Amino acid sequence: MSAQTVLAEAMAPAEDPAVKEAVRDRIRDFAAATFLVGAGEVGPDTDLFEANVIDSFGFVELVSFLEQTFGIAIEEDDLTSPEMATLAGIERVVTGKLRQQGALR
Amino acid sequence: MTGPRPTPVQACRRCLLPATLPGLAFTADGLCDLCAATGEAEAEAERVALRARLDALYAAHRGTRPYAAIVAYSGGKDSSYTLKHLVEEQGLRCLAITVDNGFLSAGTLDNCRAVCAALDVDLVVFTPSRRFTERMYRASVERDDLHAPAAVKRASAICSSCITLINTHMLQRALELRVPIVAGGYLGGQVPRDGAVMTLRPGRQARIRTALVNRFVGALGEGARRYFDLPGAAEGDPEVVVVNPMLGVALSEEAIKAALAPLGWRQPTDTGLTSTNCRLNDLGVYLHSRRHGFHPYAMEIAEQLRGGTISREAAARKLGTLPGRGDVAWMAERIGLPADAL
Repeated sequence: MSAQTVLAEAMAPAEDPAVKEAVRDRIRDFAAATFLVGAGEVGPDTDLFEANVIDSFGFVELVSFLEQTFGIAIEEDDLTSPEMATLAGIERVVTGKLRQQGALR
Repeated sequence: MTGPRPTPVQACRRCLLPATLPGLAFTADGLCDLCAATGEAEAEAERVALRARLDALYAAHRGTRPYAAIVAYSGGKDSSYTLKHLVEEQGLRCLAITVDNGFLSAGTLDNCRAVCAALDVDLVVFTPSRRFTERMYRASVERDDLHAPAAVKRASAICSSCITLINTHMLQRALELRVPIVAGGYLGGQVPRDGAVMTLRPGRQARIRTALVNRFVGALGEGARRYFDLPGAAEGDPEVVVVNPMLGVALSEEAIKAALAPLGWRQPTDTGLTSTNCRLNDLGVYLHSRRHGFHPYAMEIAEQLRGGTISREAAARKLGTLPGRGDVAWMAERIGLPADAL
């Protein structure tokens, strides 16, 4: 571990696990109701496009849901990011933006 | 002692969405979660905001290119109205492209030609290989992996495949001709509310497109690639904005048809119970209703009810009137479905 990493970790405020859990639950509940995938059918790292869970309309619905629910802006770079292809990646995108906004420690 | 058990909700008391529609939840007083989330005032405010956004888009492209917009022109009432709206009210020079799927009513191409002549619009008819489209329709019925599971909420599998081919063709032509707008005549419920304006930059959604192409090529062979693939991203490629202006329109079916009559549009008499252009539509309705337990038009009819453009009686009548096996047997035979598929 580099000196910079140690320093960064020491200075970073602890994350709020309850908020992260809430983000994860909201995204998974939305995916289950909107994309009709049951619990256990899709893992956190499943590629949602390759697994035929999300089509282009579904992606539009997903982006709209994330922006409205969490009050964040999904930018051009996010849309092309491989992170947006998995549930775990989407959660990281959302928590990262919440952290930037100061809504998540 | 326990009281009587509450009667399960059969359908939303406002929009008639049935409890059989997957993913739908109901409030204690019988509203579906979609109705509970959006009141009439919010829906109208959304339409107003959408129209303003579309007006700004049109203004940016009006007169800037040989064609400002390609209209995915099925010849049905909704895409006919979309074309009229863009040409007459928005002053956009449009190229209408009709995909002849092999099942268009004889009156449909007459309607396409009449409306385009009246509006002074160029019309191109693209007829994909009949052998391919019939195989595609058959595969749509026989396989459950061509479309994402949630697509069943919006349309039958047959319609979803056709729509995917048509939409891809419009994007292919828009990229080829460098036309900045592609307009569809889809209604609320057929596409998500946020699908009224979607910006496509070549390569941006490459992962989604690649997955789609792989599914169709896997099911139908390499020949499917020409119908579903898009050119890769290249430096300087323009963006294409896909719009569905009907999501901002609150007009009844009768009002739309009345507005089209002066252009020479006539209701075909051989398109079954629900379509105004396609003779295959009823097979999709028949199979979807039997397989999934709800009418594939349930979502769009629900949107019309929420928007006040259809009466509850007319909506219930549409949802309750289904084609019979005898009505659709010839369609099934033509796409090569075995008799027991019905």
